[in-house]
Amino acid sequence: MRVMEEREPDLVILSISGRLDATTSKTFEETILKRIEAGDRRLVVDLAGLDYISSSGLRVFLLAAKKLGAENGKMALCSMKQPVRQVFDLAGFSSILSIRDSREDAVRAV
Amino acid sequence: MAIRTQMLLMVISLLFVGVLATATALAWNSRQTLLAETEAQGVVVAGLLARSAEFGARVRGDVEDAIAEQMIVEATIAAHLVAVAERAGLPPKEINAHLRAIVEETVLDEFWITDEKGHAYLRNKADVDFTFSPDPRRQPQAHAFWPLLTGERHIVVQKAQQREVDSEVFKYVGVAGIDRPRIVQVGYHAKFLEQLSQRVGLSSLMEGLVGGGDITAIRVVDRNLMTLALSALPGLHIPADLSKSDVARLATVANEGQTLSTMDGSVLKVMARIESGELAGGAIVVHLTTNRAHEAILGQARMAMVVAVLVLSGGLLVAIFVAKSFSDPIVSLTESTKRIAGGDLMEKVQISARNEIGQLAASFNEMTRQLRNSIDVLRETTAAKERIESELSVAHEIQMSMVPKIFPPFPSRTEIDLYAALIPAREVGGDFYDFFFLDENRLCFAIGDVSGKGVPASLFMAVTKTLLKATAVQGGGPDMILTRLNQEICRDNDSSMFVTLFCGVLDIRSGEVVYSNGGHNLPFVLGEHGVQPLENTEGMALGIVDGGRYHAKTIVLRPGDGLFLYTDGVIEATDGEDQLLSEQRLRFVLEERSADSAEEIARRVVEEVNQFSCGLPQSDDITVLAIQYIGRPRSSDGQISIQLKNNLAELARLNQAVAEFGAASALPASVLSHINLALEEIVTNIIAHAYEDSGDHLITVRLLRREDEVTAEVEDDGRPFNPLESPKPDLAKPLAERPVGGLGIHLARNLMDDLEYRRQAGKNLFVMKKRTEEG
Repeated sequence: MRVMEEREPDLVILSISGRLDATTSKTFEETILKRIEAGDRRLVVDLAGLDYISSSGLRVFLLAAKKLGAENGKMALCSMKQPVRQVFDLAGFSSILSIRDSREDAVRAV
Repeated sequence: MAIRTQMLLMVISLLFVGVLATATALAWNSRQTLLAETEAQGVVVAGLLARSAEFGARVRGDVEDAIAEQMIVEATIAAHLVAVAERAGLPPKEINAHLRAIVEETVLDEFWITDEKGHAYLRNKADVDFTFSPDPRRQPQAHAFWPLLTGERHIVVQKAQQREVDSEVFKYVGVAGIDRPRIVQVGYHAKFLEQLSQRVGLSSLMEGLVGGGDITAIRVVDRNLMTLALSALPGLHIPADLSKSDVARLATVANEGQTLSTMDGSVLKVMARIESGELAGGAIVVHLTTNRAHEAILGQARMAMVVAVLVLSGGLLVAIFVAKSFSDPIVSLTESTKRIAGGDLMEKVQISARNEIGQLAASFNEMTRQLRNSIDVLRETTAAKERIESELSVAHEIQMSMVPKIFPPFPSRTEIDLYAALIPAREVGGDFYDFFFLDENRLCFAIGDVSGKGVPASLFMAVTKTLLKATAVQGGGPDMILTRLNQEICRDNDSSMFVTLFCGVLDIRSGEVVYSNGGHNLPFVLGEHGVQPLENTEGMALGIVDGGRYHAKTIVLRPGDGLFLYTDGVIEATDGEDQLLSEQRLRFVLEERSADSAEEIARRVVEEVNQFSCGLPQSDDITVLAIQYIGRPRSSDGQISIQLKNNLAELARLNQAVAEFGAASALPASVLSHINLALEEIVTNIIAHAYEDSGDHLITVRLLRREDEVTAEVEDDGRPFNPLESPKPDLAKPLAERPVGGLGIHLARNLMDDLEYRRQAGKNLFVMKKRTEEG
C-alpha cells in the first residue's frame, strides 16, 4: 500500500495504491486523520491504484467521513476498480459516501 | 566418665591397695617376730627350768649327804656312849637322860637304841615303844636297819622320806652297837631339806617365772607324762591333765629331744625335754600369751590406718593436681575439637605443654591448618570446575542456537515435511544440521559432525556452519559447495580438526536431489522399495586435504519418498554390554516407520537410541534430520492447507497462499479476490477476538477446488464463536449513525455463496463455499 499526496489551494488529493487490508489500513488511517487534524476540510481520495480493500479499509473511510462531517468538511472518492467498488457497494457505503467516477468530478463534489 | 575422675579413682585404688598390702605385710612380720621372740623366751625358760630342776635336786642331795655324815658321827658317838655307860654300870634311865640332853642341844630330833632283840629301850620319845622287826613286810621303812643287828652291815643311811607312821619327812641314820649287837639310830626332821628344796627347786622357779614376761603357766611332767608340778597365773584355769594333742606332742619331744612350739588358740606352748638329773626324761611345758603379738598387730593396724589416711589424703591431693595438669589440656583439646567439628576451622588449640598432649595439640593445629588449605584448594577447584562447566554450558547454548529449531520450518512449503533434532552429549560435541532455501524452489540441507568434542569442536562446528551457508549462497551444486567449503576450512586450520559433512539440494518442484558427501554416514532413502542408503560420492571429510575435490550424484524423490540423515552418535550408541546400535538396526527402525511424518520418523529413531542405551550417559551428540517429500498438488484436484499464527502479519502469507492456489487452480480473478477477502475477514476476526490469552495459536486455512466449487475452511482453537449469529449491519442508516466495524462478516457473507459454522473437537470450523462460475 502506498499513499501519494497532492496539494492544491484549499484541497488535498490522496492517491492510494496496492492493498488496503488489516495490515495496511492502520498506516492509511494515520495519514488521513493527520490531514483532518491539520485543518484540511476538502479531501479527495483517488483509488485508481487500489487493487484490494477489506473491511479494515472501509472502516478508515467511514471514520474519516464522520470526522469531516463533524467539522463541516467534505470528502469524495473516485476512480475505483470494479472489485473495490463491489466491496463498497456490498458494505452499503455507496449511499453514505460521495463516490465519483473521475477525479475531476470528485474535486467538484467537495 | 571424665578422664580426671578415672585417673583419680585409679590413683586412689593403687594407693589404697599399696598401703593395705604394706600394712598387712608389716603387721604380719611384727606378729611373726613377736611370736618368734615369745617362742625363744619360752624355749629359754623351758631349758632353764629343765636345768634348774636338776640343780635343785643336786643341792638337796649334797646337803642331805653332809647331814648324813654328821648323823653317822653322832650315831657312832651315841653307840660309844651307851657301851661306856653300860660298862660303867649306869642305869638305862641315866643313860637315856644324857642322850636326851644331847638331842635337845643338837639338831638331832630322835634317837632309837635297841638291845640284841631289837627293842628300842633307849629313846627320847617316852610314849612310843618301838621294836624293829626282822619282817620287811611289817616295817618296810624300819626294816632297812635290821642288818645292823645281825652284823651284816655297820652303817645304814636312809634317804629323807615320809614316815610310815605320821607322814612327817624324816631322815634316819643307823650304826651297829659297839659292845653288843644293837641298832643305834638317829633321826633328823628333814623340814630344812624341804625348805631348801622349796627355795632352790623347781617350784620356786616356776612360781617366780609365771607372771613374768609372757609366761602364763608352767607344767612339769615326768617321763611317764604325769604332771609333777603346775604353776599358773592366779585366775587362770588350766586343766590338771594334759590334752590328747599335748600328750602326743610331748611324746615326740621326749623321744626326739627337740624343743617344740605350738599355737593352741591364743596360747603358745613351748615344750622342752629335761635331759638329766632326777627328772631326766620328763619335760617342761611353758604357756605363753600371744596378746602382745595381737596387740602389736592391732597397733600396727591402727598405725596403718593413720598412715593410710595420711597417704591417701596426700595422694589424693597429688592425684588431683596431676590429673588436673593432665586432663586440663585434654579438656581444652576436646573443646577445641568440638568447635572444629562444628565447622570453625579458625579455631587454634592453645596448649603449650611439652609432653605428648602438647605434640597432639600441635599436630591438631597442623591438621586444622591443612584442612583449611584443603578447603581453600577445594573451593578454588570447585570454582574452576563451575567456570568450566559454565563455559561448557555456554558452548552448549551456542551449539543449540546455531541450528534451526522451529518446526515446521517452512509452513507454506507444503511440498516438504522436514524435521530435525540434535541431542548434545553432556560434553558438548560438534554435531550440527542446517537447511535453507537457496532460491524459491531449491532447499539446501546438510548434516555434519566435527571431529573431537568440547568447546573446540563446538567452535569449529560454528565456523563450519557459518561458512557452509556463506558458501552455499554463492551458487553451484553441493559438490561445488563442499569443494569451496573444504578450501575455506583447510586455510588456517591450525588445529588439524576436520568435519564430516553431507550436503544436498532438493528441488521441491521435481523432487530431484543433488548431493555430495564429505566422509559422512550415508543418509537413507525411504522409498517405496524400502530403506536404502544413498550411493556414496567418495569425498573425504572436510579440512584434511587442501584442494580436495568433491563430486555430486542425483536421485529423484517421488511424492511420499523420504530422506533420513544422521550422525554416528545414532549408530554408535551403546547398550550396557558394549554392543553398538548399528546401521542395520537403524534401518529396521526406519523400515517400520517409513510412512510416517518426518517428525515421527526422527522421534522414533531418538526413542530407539534412548531405549537401546538403557539410560547410560550419552557419549556423543545424536543428530537426526528427516525430510518427507510430498510434492505439489496437481491442478486438477487443487488443494492447499496453511497454518497461520495469530498475528496480523501472517495475512501476507495467507494472501500469497490464496494467490498460489488461484494460479494452480486457474480461478477467475474476481472469484479469487472474493475468496481472499472473505478468508481475510474471518482470519482477522479470529486474530482480533477469538483468544483470551496472549499466547501463540495456529489457525488452519484449507482451500479445495472441486469442479466448479471452491471450499474454504478456517479452523481455530479460540473460544466458541459462530460468526453467522452476529447481527447484520443496517445499511440504511445515515453516515453519522453507522458504527465503525462489524462489516467483515457481513462482507464474507455477501461474497461467498454458502457459509457454515461447526464447533468440533474443541475448535471452531467455518466452512465457506464459492462457485467458480458467476451467476
